[in-house]
Amino acid sequence: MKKIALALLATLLSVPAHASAIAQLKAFVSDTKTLSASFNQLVSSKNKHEEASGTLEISRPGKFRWSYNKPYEQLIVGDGKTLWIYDKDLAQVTRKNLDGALGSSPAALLAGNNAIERDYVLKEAGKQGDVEWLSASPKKADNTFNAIRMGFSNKMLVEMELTDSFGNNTRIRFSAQQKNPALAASHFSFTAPKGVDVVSGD
Amino acid sequence: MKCPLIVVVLAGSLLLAGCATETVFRPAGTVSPAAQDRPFTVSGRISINMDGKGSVGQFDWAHQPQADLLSVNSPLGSTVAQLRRDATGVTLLADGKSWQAANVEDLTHDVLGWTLPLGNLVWWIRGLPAPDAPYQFASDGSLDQQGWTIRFVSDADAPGLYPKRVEMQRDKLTLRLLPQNWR
Repeated sequence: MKKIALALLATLLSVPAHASAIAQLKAFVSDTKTLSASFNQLVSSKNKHEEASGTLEISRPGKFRWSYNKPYEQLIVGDGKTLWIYDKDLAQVTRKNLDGALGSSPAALLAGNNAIERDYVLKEAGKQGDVEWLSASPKKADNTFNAIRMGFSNKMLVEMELTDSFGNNTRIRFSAQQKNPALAASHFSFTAPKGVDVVSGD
Repeated sequence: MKCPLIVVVLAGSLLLAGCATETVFRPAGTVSPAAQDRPFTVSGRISINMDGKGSVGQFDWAHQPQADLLSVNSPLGSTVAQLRRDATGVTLLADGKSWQAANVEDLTHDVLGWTLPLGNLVWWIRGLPAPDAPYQFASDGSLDQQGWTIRFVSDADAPGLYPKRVEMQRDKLTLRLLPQNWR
């Protein structure tokens, strides 16, 4: 009996590589305590086509570091309570309560333990190559994005697509993902550099 | 022996890159009152500091003499607010709502709590004083116009056609614009 129960449990826990996107999202959330990755971001709208790239680090629950390196430096850190946005060239830091700032970065969404399942209605959205897609629509009308799609492969997030009501489409491709690396706590705290304005965004 | 030398050289150039000398931007010529208001499209970044409250974002601005379309976007590219100006007036779209007024300055003051001097920005973003109001240049090169102090900044070793950064201050409001892509 015990053996059968264990076998059953093992089957339930081991999500095969071709699992549905929602199952892969759940496995991704429960398996990755920390995550590091690189990303490429492409924002397109009627007259626009802008690329950016950088790195991402997540530490559950609720901590993240989303860093743009190109075409300019901008750092977004969520320390669990506060969201910090630092633009080096503009010499300004914006500080925001993290609760209201989920839409500010996919990292905020990804770093939560159950934010995605709690705040979004999830639907399977088909398969393209090895990537299983899901669509997430906000339960409460969200003014930031009206549609989010997430693509998974081998229980790892590989792509996100975000669309807003003004016709902007943001496509983020992740690469060099590392599951559960050791990440220094200092990556998830922020101290404003000297000479930089710190303003409240709340 | 080669490695330390390379390191020193690299460190030196990094240091230089980190401390690129900035200088006051000087426009190529002065504007005549009859200066033509030409259409332009520009995108870049903006920061707002209203007495300790504010934000940073990106902007996309398409300007024509009779119309403006200005979007302020999050780092992720989603539009947070949009201003539309045409012959009939100005509309601001934000938070799923819309507001209307006769001009941008009144609308932003009433809705956002700070004034976006869009009519003057058409000129300031290009390093020029607005031609239809009195102005004065201070000895440090900054411009005083309609209660605003505007600092035009460019890189000393790579001055461009337009300023690299425009810093505008009036009362407790500081706006910084970093135009990046002129089209």
